Amino acid sequence: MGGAGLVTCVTFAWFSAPDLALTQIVVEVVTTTLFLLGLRWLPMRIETIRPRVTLRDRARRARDLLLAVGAGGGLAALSYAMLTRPAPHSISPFFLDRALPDGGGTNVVNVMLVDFRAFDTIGEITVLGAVALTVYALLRRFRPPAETIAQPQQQQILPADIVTDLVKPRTVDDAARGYMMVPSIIARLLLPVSLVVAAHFLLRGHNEPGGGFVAGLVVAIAMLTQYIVGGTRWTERHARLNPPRWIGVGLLLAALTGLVAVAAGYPFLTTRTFHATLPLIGDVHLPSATFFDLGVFAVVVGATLLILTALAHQSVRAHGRLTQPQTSEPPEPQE
Amino acid sequence: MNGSLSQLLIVPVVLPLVTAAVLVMLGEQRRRLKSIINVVATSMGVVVAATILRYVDGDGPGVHLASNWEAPFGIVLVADRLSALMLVVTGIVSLCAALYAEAGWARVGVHFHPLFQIQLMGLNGAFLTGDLFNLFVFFEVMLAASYGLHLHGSGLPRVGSGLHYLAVNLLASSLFLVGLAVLYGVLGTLNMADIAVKVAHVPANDRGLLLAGAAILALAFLIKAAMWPLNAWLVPAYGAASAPVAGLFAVMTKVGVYTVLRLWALVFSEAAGPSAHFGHSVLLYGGLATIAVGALGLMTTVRLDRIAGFAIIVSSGTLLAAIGQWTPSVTAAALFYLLTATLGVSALFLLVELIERIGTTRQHQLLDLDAPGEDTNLDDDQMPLVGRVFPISIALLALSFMTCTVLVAGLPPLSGFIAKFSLLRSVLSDLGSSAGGWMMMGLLLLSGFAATVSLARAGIRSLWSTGHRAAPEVKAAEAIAVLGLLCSCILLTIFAEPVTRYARATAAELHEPRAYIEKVMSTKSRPRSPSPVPAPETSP
Amino acid sequence: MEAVLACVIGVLGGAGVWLVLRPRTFQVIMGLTLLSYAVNLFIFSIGSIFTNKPPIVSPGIPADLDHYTDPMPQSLVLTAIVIGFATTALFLVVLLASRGLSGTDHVDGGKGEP
Repeated sequence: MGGAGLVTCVTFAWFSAPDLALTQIVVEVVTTTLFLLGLRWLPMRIETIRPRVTLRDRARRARDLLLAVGAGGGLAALSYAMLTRPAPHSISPFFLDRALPDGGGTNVVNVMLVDFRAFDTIGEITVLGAVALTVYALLRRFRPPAETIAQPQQQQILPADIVTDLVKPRTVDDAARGYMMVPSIIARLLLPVSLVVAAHFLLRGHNEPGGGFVAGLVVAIAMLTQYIVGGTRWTERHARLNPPRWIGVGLLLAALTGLVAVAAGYPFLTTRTFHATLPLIGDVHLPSATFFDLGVFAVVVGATLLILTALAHQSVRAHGRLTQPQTSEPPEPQE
Repeated sequence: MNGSLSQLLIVPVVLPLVTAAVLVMLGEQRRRLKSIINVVATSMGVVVAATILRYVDGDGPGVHLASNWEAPFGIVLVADRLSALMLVVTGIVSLCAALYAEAGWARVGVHFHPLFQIQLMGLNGAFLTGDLFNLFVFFEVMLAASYGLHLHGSGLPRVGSGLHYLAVNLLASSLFLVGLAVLYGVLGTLNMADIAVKVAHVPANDRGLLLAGAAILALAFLIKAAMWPLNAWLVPAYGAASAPVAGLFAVMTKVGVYTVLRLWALVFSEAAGPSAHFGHSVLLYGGLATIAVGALGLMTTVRLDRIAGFAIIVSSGTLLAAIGQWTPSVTAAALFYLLTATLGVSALFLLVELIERIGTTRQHQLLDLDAPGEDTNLDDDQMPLVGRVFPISIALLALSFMTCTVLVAGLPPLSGFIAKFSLLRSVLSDLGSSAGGWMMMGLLLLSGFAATVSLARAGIRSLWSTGHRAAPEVKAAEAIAVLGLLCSCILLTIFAEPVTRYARATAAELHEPRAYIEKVMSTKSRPRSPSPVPAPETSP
Repeated sequence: MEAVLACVIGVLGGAGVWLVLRPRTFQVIMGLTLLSYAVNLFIFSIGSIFTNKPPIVSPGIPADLDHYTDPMPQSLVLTAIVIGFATTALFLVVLLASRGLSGTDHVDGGKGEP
């Protein structure tokens, strides 16, 4: 699956869609992490020899195959038909024409997202926020399947007092020990670098590939890396993030940017570029869409982190009977 | 006047958004404050919807150009009579659902209120938008919040049916995207009014692609509108959801019907040349099949929540079949029917939960999860759900249930009957002896019969033969919610004349989309103050 | 080139649908992901395909579709990627929760074959 995602990303990059390639690859990374977190709670596959493949199974497989071939073939046919026609008289030349003079940016795709079709983007970040809240609410009452409650085999076979590189994240404060030390130092040093990269993407998004989504996902990945190398408890002790607050702030920022335009008598989400000449820096052009992008950034960071930390917390929590006695309950992760 | 209508149009979308953001930031503690904010915001939504309706009825469609770009380049919000009608229905149903939820359901899990507001935002946005991809985005907003609301409270039946609901809707969304892409590829635009203009000029060899794209889109909408055979997901999902959520979901099905109506009226009207009236027979016969399946389901099920689900299917089928007939008087009757059916079935969903409480303790009903063990991570306080007990609860429930039965089955003297009667009359007069017409009339009567039988049977079982079971606790908020919906139906009955006039005007607008198209395409953007063109930055 | 892209889309879509119809939970998720890739590529391919013409306007080059790729499908795909990511994440979590509550690995709740 990761391979398919990578291929998609390369396809985008090859066919002149740099923004899409960037977004695809960061989304790919987050999705893979998500699946790995989820794998913890799926049971191991037990290979058994089935007595026989029933006729019903075979019929079902045939039907599925037919559906799959039909769907795939249909998509391919449609796609080929669309690709080989001459391009329609679409509305896009208008966007290419007006992006710089009215939108204030040269990256037409980004200008479309935060200006021409900003109303779409507001809906999109709302979807992200809603899904994150749902995931969080659902996982608060999560009861894992009985056979996955026990710790994974690697953690079970170690006696409690052994000093080893392989530590149980629940019982230690800092999981970065032994052979994890080197990656953890690199990851921790990279965190400020990642933040700078994200800021770079955010600020240049209007004119070059980048934008709020990519920046937000880069920050989320950077934080995730801290979770991976340092363990949940260490990271949450050192960084008081409040993902729901980020979501709320982001949504408000985006909405308020739009409403400011209404207060000035223009329709919702009208953008404007401010120009100023600052003493040392020189000419500064600040499109109001930057604030909108900032709102998008905040929602993306908050939503992604909320989803992934909600899943991560499931591994830290004590579920039912453990094979090792615990001296104290791990502290409830703060909201 | 028109300027203020234009400004008003964004309120149904932005108000829930801002409310949701504020509610999220309030954290999980201030429950009382959040409840109050939720109900107040929803009531304001109703007021705004009614105001928009009044403006639109007087002045014609209103247009708001988001981001100040003209159609067909920017996204437009359009309110014509149909949109305003749907906004008002959504407002009323959501207000009653919010009130009902405050009585207890809102506290069963976290983040109910923000999700509720986001759902409202999605619904309102879907009704107001005039752009196809924007419709997709608002569909997703609506669906994302609905997943959250459906899963609210957890427990196996909910999560299990939630999984199916989620999977079916993911499929529908993919189909939406594919159909949308094909349509853009053929026509070159995403604005609904512009599509209506360009459809007539599609060259002949592209028409197959156009129709294929439209068919795929229709598939996505019809899944949402629960047309047979795509509606297996509806009854389990709506049955398992908590009561206020199920009440709100009654509007969600109507979004699918609305979308079909809007797009078919615009795209495949008379003016579409050779493509006119594409697919109307599919709508007609599919709708008829849906009514039949729904009626069958009504007769064969005994559980109240499933009865309510099948009632939705029947109403959906009726609406689709009526759209398939495509004459102004049938459409007008269908719109009146939409009003009464939505309000009636919504009330039914709310009532179902109240009735199921008869004979059981309230605590058990509300937390119908498997008993949480000490290892589950619940830290919201399970407050004892005290409230003022309605002393005449059984009588109230019985009377409300009878009213609901009369409404849903279409028996005199309430608005359900008026709706059915006008449908029958218009079908008879417009399609007299065609097979479709006769089948429709027969199925309308049959479905009314089936609804009467099944609801009466369920009512007798639950209400008459309660024996010595304890009267249920009905909190004031819940009673007000149910009574609110039923009272609006009674008002609908009393004011049937002006509502019918409005429905006729709406149908006329739909059958003659030129006014809509012209209004959208001719609205000019507010001139921007000139700003100097920034020098492009040289990239490293 | 167009044929290759169309085939890729078809293969991804077909594989996605096949996996979605499988009984086991993880296969369903994989299928949904592949399906979303297929749909995204499909939308992207609606505008004509060029290499080396990113929609970043430079002064001096006329702003029309001969010199830049169509930016509209690209912005649509970007929105679709993000929404698809959100719904995939939600689906995974609901799958896990339902698995935990029901104790079987089969999407339709069938009797657990291991």
